[in-house]
Amino acid sequence: MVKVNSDLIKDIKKYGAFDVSKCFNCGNCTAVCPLAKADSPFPRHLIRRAHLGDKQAVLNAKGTWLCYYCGECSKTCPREAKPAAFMAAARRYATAHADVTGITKLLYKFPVLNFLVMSAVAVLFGLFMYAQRLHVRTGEKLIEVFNIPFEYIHWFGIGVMSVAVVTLLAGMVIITLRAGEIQNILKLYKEAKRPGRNVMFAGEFIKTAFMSIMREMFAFKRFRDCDTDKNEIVWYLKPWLVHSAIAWGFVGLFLSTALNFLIKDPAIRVALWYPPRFIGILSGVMLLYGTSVVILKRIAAKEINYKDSVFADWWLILTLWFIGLSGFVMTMLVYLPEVDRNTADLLFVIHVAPAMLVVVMIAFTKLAHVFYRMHALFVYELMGNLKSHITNP
Amino acid sequence: MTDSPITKESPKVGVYVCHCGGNISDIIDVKRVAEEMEKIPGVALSTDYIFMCSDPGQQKIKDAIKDGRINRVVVAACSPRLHELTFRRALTVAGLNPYLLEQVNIREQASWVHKTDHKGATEKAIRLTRGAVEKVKLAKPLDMIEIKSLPSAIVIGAGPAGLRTASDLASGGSSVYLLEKTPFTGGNAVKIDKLYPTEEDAKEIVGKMNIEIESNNNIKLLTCAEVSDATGGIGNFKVTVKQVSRGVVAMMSEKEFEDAARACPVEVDDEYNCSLSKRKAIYMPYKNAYPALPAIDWANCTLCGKCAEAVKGKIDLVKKVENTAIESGVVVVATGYEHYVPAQAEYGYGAKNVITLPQLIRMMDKTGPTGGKIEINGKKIKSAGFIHCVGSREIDGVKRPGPERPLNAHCSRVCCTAILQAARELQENNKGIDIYSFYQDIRTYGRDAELKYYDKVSAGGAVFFRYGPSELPQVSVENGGINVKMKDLLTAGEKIEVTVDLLVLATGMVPGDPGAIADKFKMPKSVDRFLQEVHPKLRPVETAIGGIFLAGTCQAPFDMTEATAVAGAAAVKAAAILESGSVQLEPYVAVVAKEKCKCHGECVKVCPAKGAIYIDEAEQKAEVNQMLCISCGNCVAVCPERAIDVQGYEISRFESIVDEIVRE
Repeated sequence: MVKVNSDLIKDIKKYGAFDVSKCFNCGNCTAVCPLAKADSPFPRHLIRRAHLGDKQAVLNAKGTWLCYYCGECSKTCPREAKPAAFMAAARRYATAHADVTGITKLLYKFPVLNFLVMSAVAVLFGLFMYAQRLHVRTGEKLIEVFNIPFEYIHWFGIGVMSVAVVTLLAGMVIITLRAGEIQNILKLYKEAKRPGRNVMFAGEFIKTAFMSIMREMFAFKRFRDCDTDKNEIVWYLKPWLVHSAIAWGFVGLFLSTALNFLIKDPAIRVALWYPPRFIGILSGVMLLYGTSVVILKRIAAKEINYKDSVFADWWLILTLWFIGLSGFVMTMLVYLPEVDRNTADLLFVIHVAPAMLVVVMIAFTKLAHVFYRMHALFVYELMGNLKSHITNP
Repeated sequence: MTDSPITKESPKVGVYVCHCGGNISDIIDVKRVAEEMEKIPGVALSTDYIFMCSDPGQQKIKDAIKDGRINRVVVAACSPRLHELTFRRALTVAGLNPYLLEQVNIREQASWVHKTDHKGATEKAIRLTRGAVEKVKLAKPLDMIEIKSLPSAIVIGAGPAGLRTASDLASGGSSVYLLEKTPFTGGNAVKIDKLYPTEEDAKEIVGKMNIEIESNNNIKLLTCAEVSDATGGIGNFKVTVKQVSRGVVAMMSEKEFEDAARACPVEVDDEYNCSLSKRKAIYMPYKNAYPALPAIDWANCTLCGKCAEAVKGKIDLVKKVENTAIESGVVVVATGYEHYVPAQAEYGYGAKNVITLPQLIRMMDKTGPTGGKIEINGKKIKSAGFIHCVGSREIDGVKRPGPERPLNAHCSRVCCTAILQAARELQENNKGIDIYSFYQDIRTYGRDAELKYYDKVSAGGAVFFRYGPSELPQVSVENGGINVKMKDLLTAGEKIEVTVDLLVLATGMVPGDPGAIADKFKMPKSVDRFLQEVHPKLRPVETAIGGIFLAGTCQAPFDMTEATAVAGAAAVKAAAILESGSVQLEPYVAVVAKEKCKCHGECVKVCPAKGAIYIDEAEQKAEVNQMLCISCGNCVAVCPERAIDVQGYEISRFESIVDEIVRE
């Protein structure tokens, strides 16, 4: 017996599913979805659960994490209820409810607040960094206020980062609990190891699940299944390709920056083929390409999967684009005739502040999906492996 | 009866066997049928043709008649229902009495039903046609019966349909008696606040119709008037109207009415507000009710005289009943519908905050009992549930509250749209309200209704639940909340429970009481107990009783748009009779051979059309009223003296058919 409560759908609607109430439960969306399976029926099933107010069903659904927003369902929907937009909203809802601090909820529900918080944090970062650089270079203090000992700022930053990381980890635990009901995993594992069955070790289950997630993460296996418009879109504009350009670009830049710092001062002029530099340039091009395509498509809002963008989408894509661009300019400066130190510092701050912002806010923004989605799919995969081992040993 | 020279000659029958483009000739050997007919004495001509109904086919018949080769016609073809009139016309054009035709059906009754037995089908066709030949030999020329019609109409019921019919008939020049059982016009319609799809005020629309009625001198409106007896038939109805005095005898000012009402000590449920408020025994249902004269509710008035004291000289508390005889050429029945009233505890009915849709509509009326507010304990409601199909689409064994209550298997059509119209209004007036709809099937039919109601309400966040016909929602009232439990087909048959502040039961339409007219004329009713038309498409507003027409919801559930459209159709059908001044009837009526009649009276007992056959007291013989006879033949069957025959279908002719069919 489900006790109907309409608060849930009203709440989810705040995350972007503005038209979903038009749904009349025909199920065309599920029929056309390339990823919906019998064990993870969506969008229809989830839309109905949301309307009934079955919060647990919405939060526990695997479908939320499976969906890559190809938009086929919205194209097929006879009611123009935009099931794909609902899935995105449900994903935001699930993400926000995995955040124990409650910050994500506020940021998603109140875009203006989101904008103000993000801007304020970025500006603060920038000012601190610029003040520190200035101080190191000239001994000057920018403003009296910033006359806080460097260690304090440093440790405060570490603290904030820790909160973000802890939140992220807590989120992953929450998702594990939701998805697998951890006690179930243990029960299933015991069941799988019962005498008479083929012996299989925990490590093996995890390995199988892990490999499948790796395929998901690095090759976007499911995302490519989403490629339903095989002939309509040229290969270099396919959503999965553009998305991987951004993802790989981001990872590459992160890596090359770290390498650069570890090995040498990034401001030193080296040959372009020097590995950290080469990776950096390649990744930067990928990131800029991916983000530019997405931005243009979101502006055009012609394709269904680039319509209905919410503030969180805009914020992430524009920030990434900006980081890519400013990073590029910085790299170029290294190879140009000597620029004055102050300009270089300013440019450095302009590049690093948003980059830091993205990293620090990782648990509270759209970027959290990188961790949550992968983690959720991993847990579901693990559960599925255990179950299928029990039924077909 | 015409005694044309042709029919005095010995019969010369022309037989025409139709191929029906292969429909008949692919199975039946039509040439053989024609040849067999030639052998029969009296057959002057026998032939076959590809399409007898075509112009050249008909021409063959016409030419043979004009040449004097034949004076009787048999067409062996399709069903006479399809083309008897076609061939009758051909005979008339050629100068032969149209009743000297016999069409025999060898398509539906032979070729179509015996597709695999060509020989047998041919044999059957021969026998059938032989019978027809013998029957037509005995045919006598007949003329249609012409009846003079009175130029006036009686319209029973002054709801929107009755008002529309009366107005349309009167504007065509006919004089109309418009009878209304209650003291006021408008019927159930005036209880509706806004009419979909235009959202106009129903009272205003009815008000416009009232003006049409008032301003037309051809219409005589009789309120507090019921039919108590009716006889006669098409062109000549005699209706006795029982009219009760209104009690209020002179125009009253608003203040006078208020004084009189204040003085009245009686308080009863106000039917206009669906019992949500009280009224006095002197009353007006709403401000602009028509006629604008209050009335005394005799059933509840205690005759205390206080109102008459308060307003002197305008109230007469002596109830007078007057019987008036009215004659008319046609009768239009527009007696309307009634709202189904749920049984006690049916879906929680009777509990607080469980109301019917008509009640909700009254509450949403700004001039209604709550002034348009939907509140509980002074607070706006936060949620409302609507149960569809209450008292409609019932399945025997699943739903039938009350042992003596008939089953309402029909769909009331208008409720889906009316529910969603009300729900949308609730959404507009109560921001954030949760609307839940529990339906079996849902269809907001009608122009724009899908967009205006279903789409709006659905986009506005209403949640819909679908129940199966055999598992109905269960309603329980616990600690102030109304709980609806049901198996929801939209959630794969899972059980769900919803708690609402207000539960609205969308009660359907059940037939109103059409009164004495239906009893006196034994008007046919359909299984759903509404009055029935002859054919839903071919004769949609005519009843089996000639001259009686149906207008509006006495026939079936309609919305007001449809009810008035149907009323207009009834007016046109009625006007066609009134304007020509006469009616032509088929001559197939009972005829009494006076010399044989011994006045047993059996015929009168079995006659289903009251007054069609009666005993002439002076002559002591049975007599037929041709106008009323419906050619059923019951009297023929029961007459011990075999004194009665139906013209055109005499027993002797049937005997000859049977003889020919069985002859080897």
